[in-house]
Amino acid sequence: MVGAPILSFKDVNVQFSAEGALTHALSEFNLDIYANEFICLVGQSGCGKSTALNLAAGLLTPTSGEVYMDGQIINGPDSTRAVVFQNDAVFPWMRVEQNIGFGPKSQGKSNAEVSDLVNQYLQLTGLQEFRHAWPMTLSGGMRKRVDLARAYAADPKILLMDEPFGALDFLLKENLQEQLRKLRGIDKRTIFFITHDLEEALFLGDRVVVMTPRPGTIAKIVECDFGEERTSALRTSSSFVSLRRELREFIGKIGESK
Amino acid sequence: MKKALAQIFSRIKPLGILAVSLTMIFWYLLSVDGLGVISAIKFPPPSQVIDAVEVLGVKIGTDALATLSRVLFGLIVGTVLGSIVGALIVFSRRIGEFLHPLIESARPVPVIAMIPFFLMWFGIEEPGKLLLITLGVFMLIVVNVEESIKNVPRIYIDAAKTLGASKSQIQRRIILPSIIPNMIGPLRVAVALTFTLVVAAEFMGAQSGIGYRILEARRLFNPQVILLGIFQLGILAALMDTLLQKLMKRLTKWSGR
Repeated sequence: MVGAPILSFKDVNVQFSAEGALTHALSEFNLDIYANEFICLVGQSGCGKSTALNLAAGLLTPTSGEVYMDGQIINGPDSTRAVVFQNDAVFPWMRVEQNIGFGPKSQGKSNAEVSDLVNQYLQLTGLQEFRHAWPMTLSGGMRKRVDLARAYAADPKILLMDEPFGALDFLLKENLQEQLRKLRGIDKRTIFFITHDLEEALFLGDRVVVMTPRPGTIAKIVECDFGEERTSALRTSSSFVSLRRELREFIGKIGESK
Repeated sequence: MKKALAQIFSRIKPLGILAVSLTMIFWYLLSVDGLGVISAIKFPPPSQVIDAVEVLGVKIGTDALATLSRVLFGLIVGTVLGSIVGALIVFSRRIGEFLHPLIESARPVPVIAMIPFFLMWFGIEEPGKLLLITLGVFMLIVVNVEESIKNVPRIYIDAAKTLGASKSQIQRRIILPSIIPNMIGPLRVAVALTFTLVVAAEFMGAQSGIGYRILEARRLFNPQVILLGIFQLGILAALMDTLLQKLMKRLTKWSGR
């Protein structure tokens, strides 16, 4: 890791009070994310990983501590940090191409620039044939691709992904993971990816951050040296399987000690 | 117009035709045209209504036009103003706090209760009638726009923000299109309401319109003209409702309704 991190969490604590009960979602959370890396944050449901992503997006402010983007404290959402949510956030009242062009158009780019970006990401996500389609007519997996293309086209410095494939069936999920990794060969953008699926985290990430259950804090950071190009064969390779087993045991232990 | 009429008829199924025919036959049989169970004074027979059409002639058209123009004015102005105010209430906390108690306490009051004041202020001139109809539509639309905006899924607004949309872009490109499907029901209710209000407005005094004609017929003791007016209102309201649904269908193509 060279240079300054582009996104960094410094001693972040987040507490929620819901119905009188105080929930400690994140505790002393420290993490630096560097340019061009694909970092996956993995943890059990309710461990505060989505909280971390919402802080990075600027949709939430920490109870104490700071979150910095390029050295500046994050103050609300903006297009340097586009989000792909778990739930379907494709705008149903816009055709596919309008959805993808939403970011650049909102940012005041010229029509020519917008249509260039739209064409580029339609092609990269294999959606050219569906450019005029209404989202309602597409399958869940296709809509997710529209969502990904839309986030890329907004040209963020860092892409935030909150369990984007969580609601899809496993075949579709693996397929989209492979496509996302392939997309990285062309567009090496910084990605902060949240998931509860250990295999997904290992397959996608350059670094995998393992979180403890609530209050969420970082238990371990693992480097995944599986190279840039990753295909489905990786999933059954011995180095992948043994790292997966090792981490699975580790997560089991931190679960017991809590 | 032709298309809308064609659409009304295309939606009519054989059972519907049966129901209408049975009602007509029933009416015919009960009236003095048939068995004479009901006197012509209490409920005029079909033949007299047909005679009324001939007697009134062009007045049928001019009355319909006068009523329809009031309906359209109230619907359009009331919907536009109601949408603007409803949106302001949600988007500006201060405007919301300022207007909320006022509108909430005024809303349940039937606008018809205001008729005596409107008569004092405007006499039987046009502005009083237009104001009555507009006010009724306005109150209905304000609250529905307010609720629809509050129900816009948070995820669309969050996504738009992280893609770089400004507040006004979110209002125009996210909130406005996403509330339209929720407004179809309230707008259809508004159409029905305008017809109620237009008749009330024309009853309070007018020189034209279907309501005026009905009131005049009561004075002149022409029950067949009253019945004709009721038929006219029914046809016009159905026509408006169909046109509205057609328009809304076009605006919500994306939702697959």
